[in-house]
Amino acid sequence: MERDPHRADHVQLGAKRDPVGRRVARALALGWLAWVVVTTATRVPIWTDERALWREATEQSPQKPRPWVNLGTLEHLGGDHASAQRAYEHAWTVSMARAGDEQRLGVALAAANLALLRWQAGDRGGARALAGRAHAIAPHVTEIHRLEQWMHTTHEPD
Amino acid sequence: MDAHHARTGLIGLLLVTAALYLPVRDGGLVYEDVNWHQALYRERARIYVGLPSRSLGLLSLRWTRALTVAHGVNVGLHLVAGTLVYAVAATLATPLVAVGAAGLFLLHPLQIEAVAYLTGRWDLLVTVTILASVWGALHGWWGLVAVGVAASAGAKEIGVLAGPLVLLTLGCWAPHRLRGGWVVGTLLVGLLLLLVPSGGWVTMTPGYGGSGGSRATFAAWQLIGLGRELALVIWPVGFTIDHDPMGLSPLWGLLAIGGAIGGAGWTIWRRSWLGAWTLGWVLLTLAPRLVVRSAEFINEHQWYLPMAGLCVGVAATLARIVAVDGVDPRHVPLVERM
Repeated sequence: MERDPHRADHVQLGAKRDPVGRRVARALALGWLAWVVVTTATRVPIWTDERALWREATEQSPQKPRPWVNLGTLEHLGGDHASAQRAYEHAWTVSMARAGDEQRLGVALAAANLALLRWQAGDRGGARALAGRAHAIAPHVTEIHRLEQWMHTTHEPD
Repeated sequence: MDAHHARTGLIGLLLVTAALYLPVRDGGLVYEDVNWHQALYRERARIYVGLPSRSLGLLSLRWTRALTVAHGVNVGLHLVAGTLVYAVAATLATPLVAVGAAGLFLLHPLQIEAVAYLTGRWDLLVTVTILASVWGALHGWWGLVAVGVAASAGAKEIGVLAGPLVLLTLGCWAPHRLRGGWVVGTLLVGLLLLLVPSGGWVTMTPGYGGSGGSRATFAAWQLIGLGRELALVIWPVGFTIDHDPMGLSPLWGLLAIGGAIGGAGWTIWRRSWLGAWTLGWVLLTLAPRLVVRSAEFINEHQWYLPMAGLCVGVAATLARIVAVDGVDPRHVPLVERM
């Protein structure tokens, strides 16, 4: 490799710097670096627990529907229907404060998931009504359409 | 710090990084991982035709189906990328700055999402391929430059920046190498060719990866998100898988603009070619986020490529502040280098 003549060389800077100030600067820099590394060490394990990841997202982005929907889904799959219902209802509430596509999708997903909860609790009529509402709000979402179709074609007594 | 001690330091950093990321071996599929996983094994060959700009990452995910192996590959790519940051920084600055840049890049919490999240594979690959191209250009390995630029086209859409980033690096560090018109011409032709697989990304429509609303509104929200996530570099509090620029104060957008203006001012005042390179790298790698109206606002894993340049600049600044083995850019004025 040819040596580039324009490459900057080392320059002695220390002689012109205040030694006390330099020591303070070094201490602050080392402290900041240690803080960064400790933050990484404590945060990496969160990525192995998706529920902790989305719980963190609801704390950092409390006005965004998606973290609440995703947390609710994980609570739902984990069998904690009460926590799931609270998360879905929160998703519905914060969705109403948004605009446009995000509002529609947030409300539709919250409604569809609440429909599933009601179905599992035995309230077939309520579930069908919520699923129909979700489909009306977001007709382009295939999964919601399939859910609504399935609920209407499954013949079980209410 | 001499080169030998710097290399020893790098090895230590790589070992510490591997140890810190050990828990991800127990990680599963998170959020969008499920969609990619399903698409990869359901669509089979069609997905490569439909997404040529992601083909390298898709192939690598297919070959590493076992989740522990897949996460291990992500960590391995992170270690390779950190080594390349060291290699590039060692050429541009001093061994101490190189170790500092590699350490920040490997150990900063802003990098966690790209490494621990399997969907971050695209960001890891595009950064490795681009850094390999830049290192190759710095050392005259033009075959490596060609392979790296081509590979970046199949790593992620932002890989089209491989050519411009190589030009930026040569322009700041060895402008005499750009006097050969064929180098510039080849890289520019390469850029145009790379737009072919990535062209669909620019024209995404709402509901199919794109977003509605005006370009100005989207750019404003992105600036707010950029400002918030830029703050995470210095003040590592507030990480999340799902940032919400629409729920933040517009002041964060001013922070992003202020950071760019401040960086430009510092670069011009100190006539620092390293500052110009850092600023150019960060602006080039983040600019597409303001222009391409994707359905998602900027995420932490999208900072992986910009951090490669930002860490070099931060390490050089820290080296000057603590006045240890620093590089005084005043002795090599930018105007004299052109």
